[in-house]
Amino acid sequence: MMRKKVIMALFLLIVVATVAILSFGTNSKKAGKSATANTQDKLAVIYVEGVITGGRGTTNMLSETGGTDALIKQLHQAAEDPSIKAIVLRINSPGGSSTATQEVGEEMKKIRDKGKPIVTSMGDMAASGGYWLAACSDKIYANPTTLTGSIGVYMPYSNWEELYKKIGIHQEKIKSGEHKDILSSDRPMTEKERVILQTIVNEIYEGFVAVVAEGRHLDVAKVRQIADGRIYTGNQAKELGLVDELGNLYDAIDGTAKMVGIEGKPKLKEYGNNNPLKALLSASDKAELLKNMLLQMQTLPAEQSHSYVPMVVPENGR
Amino acid sequence: MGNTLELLYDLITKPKEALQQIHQTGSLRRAAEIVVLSTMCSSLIACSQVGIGGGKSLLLLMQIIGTLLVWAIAAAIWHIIAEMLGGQGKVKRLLTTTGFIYFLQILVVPFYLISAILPAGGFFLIMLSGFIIFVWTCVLNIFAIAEVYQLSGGKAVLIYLMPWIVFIMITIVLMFAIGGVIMSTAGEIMNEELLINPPMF
Repeated sequence: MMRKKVIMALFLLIVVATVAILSFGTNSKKAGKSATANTQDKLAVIYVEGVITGGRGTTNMLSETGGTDALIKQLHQAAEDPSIKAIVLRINSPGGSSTATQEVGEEMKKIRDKGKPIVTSMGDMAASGGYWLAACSDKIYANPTTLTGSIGVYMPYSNWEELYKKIGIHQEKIKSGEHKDILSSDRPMTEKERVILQTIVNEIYEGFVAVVAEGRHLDVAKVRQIADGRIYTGNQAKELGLVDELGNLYDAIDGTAKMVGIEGKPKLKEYGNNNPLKALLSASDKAELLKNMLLQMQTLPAEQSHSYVPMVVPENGR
Repeated sequence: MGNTLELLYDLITKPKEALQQIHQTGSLRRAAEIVVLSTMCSSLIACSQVGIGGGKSLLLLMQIIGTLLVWAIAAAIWHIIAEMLGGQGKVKRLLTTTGFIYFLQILVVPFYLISAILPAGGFFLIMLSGFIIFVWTCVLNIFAIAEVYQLSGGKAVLIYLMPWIVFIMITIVLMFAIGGVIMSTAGEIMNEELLINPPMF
C-alpha cells in the first residue's frame, strides 16, 4: 500500500517538474530565439503571379489571387520592416492592366528612393506589364528560357454586330454624347473613335517606353526599336540590355544578399497569404464564395474578360 | 489523498479491479480535480512544444472548460443510451469512474521529456504514445460503462460508440444537404453569368 503511494507520488512529482521545465523553460528559449530572429537581417520575397489586375483581387477556398492593392500592401510592409534589407520580386506574369501595373511601379520607385533595393527574379514569364515592373527594379534576373519583353499596349475590342443579327437581337442606345458608347460591341468602330483610342494607346505606350528607358538606362530611341511588342527569351533580353543576369530565384536571392552585405545563406520572409481557413471565413456571402470559385476555374485570356481597359499583355498571353 | 494515489496506481496496473473500487468508493470531487489537473498538464506541455506563448492562459482556461463539458456531456449521453439498453446505474458513478480515467492523459508527459532529450524520433514517440494512451482510454471507458451499468462487454462497446456513429451519420446527412444548397446556388449564378452586358465607360 505504502509502496503504491510512494511510486505514484514520485511519478506525479516527475510529471509536474517536466511540465514546469518544458513549459516555462521552452518559453524563455523561444522568446530569446524569436528576438534574435526578428532583428536578424532578412530579404523579403514578394510574388507577382498571373494577370496583373487592380483592386483587391479574389479570394476562394484554396488560395488568394491578389489584385495590386494586396501587392502594394506587401511592398509597404516589407519597406517598413527595418530587418528587411532588400526585396526580391518574383514575377511570373504575362502582364495585365496598365494602370494597375503603373501603380505598383510607382510604389516600387518610392521604396527604392528611400534606399531599399528591389531585385526582380523572372519566372516562366515576365512580359509586358510584368516587364514594366521589372524595369522599375534595381537589377533583373531571368532564366535563359524566360519569356519577357512584349513592351507595348493594346486595347481589346470585339464587334458582335453580326452575331446579334443572327440571333435576332437589336440593340439601341440613347446617349448624351457622340462617343459615350465608344468600344460598344454592337456596332463597328468609327474612324474618329479609332483615332481617340489610338491616342490613348500611344500615350500609355510612351509612358511604358519612358519607364524602360529610365529603369534600364537605355536611350529612348533604342527602347522604341526593341519595343515593337515582340517577346524575347531571357537570353535575348540579356543581349539587348533588358535583363542583367541569367539565373533562377535562388541566384537572385544570393545576388541580392551580396548586394546588401548579408553573409552566408540569407533569412527570407515571404509575403502573401494562402490560408484557406482565412479565405473561407472572409467570404461571408455563399454566392460570392461560389462565384469566386467558379471564376477561378475559368482560364479566359485577358481580352475576353469583358474589360476594355488598356492592357499590357501579349496577345496570346495568359 | 493516499487512497486516490493507490487507485491511480491500480488503474494503470490492475484497471478492472481499480474501476470496481472507483465505482464503489470514488469521490466525484476527486474525479473533477483529476480531470482539471490532467488537462492542465497535457495542455501546458502541448503548448510548449507547439510554441504558443501569448494567450496561453486563455487557451488553458478554454481547454479546461471544454474538457469538463465534454466529460459531463459524454457521461450524460452514455447514461441515456445505457438506460435505453437496460442498464441500471447512476450517472454520478459513471462521471466519477470516467473522471479518474482522465488521469491517463498525464502518462504522455514523460514521453515529451524523453523526446526533448532525444530530439531524433521525438515527434514519432509522442504520436505513438498519444495513440496508445487514446486507445487505452477508450478501452477503460468501455470497462467503466460495463461496470457502472452491469452490462456485457458488447453492449458497453455499443454504448461507447453510439454517439460517434450518430455524429458520423449527421455529418453525412449535412454534407448531402450542403451539396444540395451548393448545386442550387451554382444554378442561380450560372443564370446570372449568361446575361452579360459589355462594360461602359
